[in-house]
Amino acid sequence: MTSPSSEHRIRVVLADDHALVTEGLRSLIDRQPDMEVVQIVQNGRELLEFLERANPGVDVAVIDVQMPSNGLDALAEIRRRELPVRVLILTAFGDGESMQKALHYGAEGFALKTESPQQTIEAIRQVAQGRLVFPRAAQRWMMGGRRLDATSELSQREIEVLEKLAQGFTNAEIAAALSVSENTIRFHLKNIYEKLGVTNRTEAVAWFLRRGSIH
Amino acid sequence: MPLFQLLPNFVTDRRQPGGIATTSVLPSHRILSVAEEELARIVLDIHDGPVQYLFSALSLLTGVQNDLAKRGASPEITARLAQVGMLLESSLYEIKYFLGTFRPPEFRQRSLPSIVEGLVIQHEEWTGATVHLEMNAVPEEVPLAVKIAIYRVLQEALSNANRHAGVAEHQVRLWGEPGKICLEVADNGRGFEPPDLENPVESSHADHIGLLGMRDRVALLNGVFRIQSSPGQGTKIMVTIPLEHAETSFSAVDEP
Repeated sequence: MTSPSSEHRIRVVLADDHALVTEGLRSLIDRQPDMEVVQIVQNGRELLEFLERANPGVDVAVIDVQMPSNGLDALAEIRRRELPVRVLILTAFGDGESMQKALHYGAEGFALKTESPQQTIEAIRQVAQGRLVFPRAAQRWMMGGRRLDATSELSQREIEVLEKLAQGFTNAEIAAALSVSENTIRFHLKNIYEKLGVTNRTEAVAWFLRRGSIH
Repeated sequence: MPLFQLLPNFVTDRRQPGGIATTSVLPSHRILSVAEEELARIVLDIHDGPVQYLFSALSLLTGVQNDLAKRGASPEITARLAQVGMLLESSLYEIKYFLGTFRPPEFRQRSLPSIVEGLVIQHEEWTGATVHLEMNAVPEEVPLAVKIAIYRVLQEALSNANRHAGVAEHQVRLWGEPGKICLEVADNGRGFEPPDLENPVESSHADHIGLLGMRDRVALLNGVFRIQSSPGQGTKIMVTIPLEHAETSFSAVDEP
């Protein structure tokens, strides 16, 4: 299989208190040539502990919303601590509210237990490549009204990083200005490039200046 | 069964000593939230059991199918397993719509506009239709029962529009007026001759159960429910619900 991530396998953490589900998914993921399960946890607390310990050893965390110490709270905490991991929400509930929340809390993807597990696998792959994987209607909602333009895919933090980049800051300077590590800045930049469809900082800055400031 | 038939006593017992009851304790308000709580319990049971089992079974099956595809299996076994897979997927597919339809949103924590937006996203996602949503001056504080009624009426109206109107665009307007909240759901579809909702015999047709349900929910809150439609002229559902001093009376349904 050829994918942008084929140099290294996508490292996946499964966070779900339903042992049957994680067992089933693990058996499926471990059969994929381009991904592997590095850990299974059963609640939000264990997930955060593992992510801190493994940092930055995980590419994608697949998080069940309904597990103990709630999946969305765990997601919010991942974002607060700026842990460099992409998040795929996996839930049985495909209603509008669930999609809104996953978007609001900053997940990169949304997959359903009421759809084929093969789709979850594909969503892990796409999220790992830096895509936003949400149902079309939810994406439209996010683009329209709520946030102003195509930059809606960028998180507030990513916009801050982009602004500093445009001002000519180095990674180390951005890291110092935002009080985070250079590693974290590199992670943000990688995401920004992928979201903007550019390959380097010059292109990202050019894109930013073309668009004017983002708010 | 229309909701009000379950509540004969509440109709007459609508005023409490010393004046009009507050909206939060009215039995008619309570019945709406109790119904939602029961739904939430059923939905949770299905979520915790069948969904997890089916998803897991399908994961394991897909793994086995992958292995067999590599190793080579008889066409008969391959076909049988594909059939099992399809059955499992179909079950999940049906559960998906059941959960999505009946799972109550977080009525208590969320604002009415946010709940309505969620429903619109869901409708667009499921049907591929486009909903033009307009919300103006919706009050910050809306009683729980009013939120529930607006949500369920909108859900039914959009579902009807999708099934019967034959058009893929719907208009939804939600706005506040002094002391009340108003909802309109309209389409430019094929329209129909609205039934007489006050006549249970004529209006007991299966297609009209949904209309009766909408009417009853609104009536429980002393609101007004109207349908404007005729063949070829599209359909408009209009709902007005008072926000305060909502008495439990059904007189409102007699209004034009």
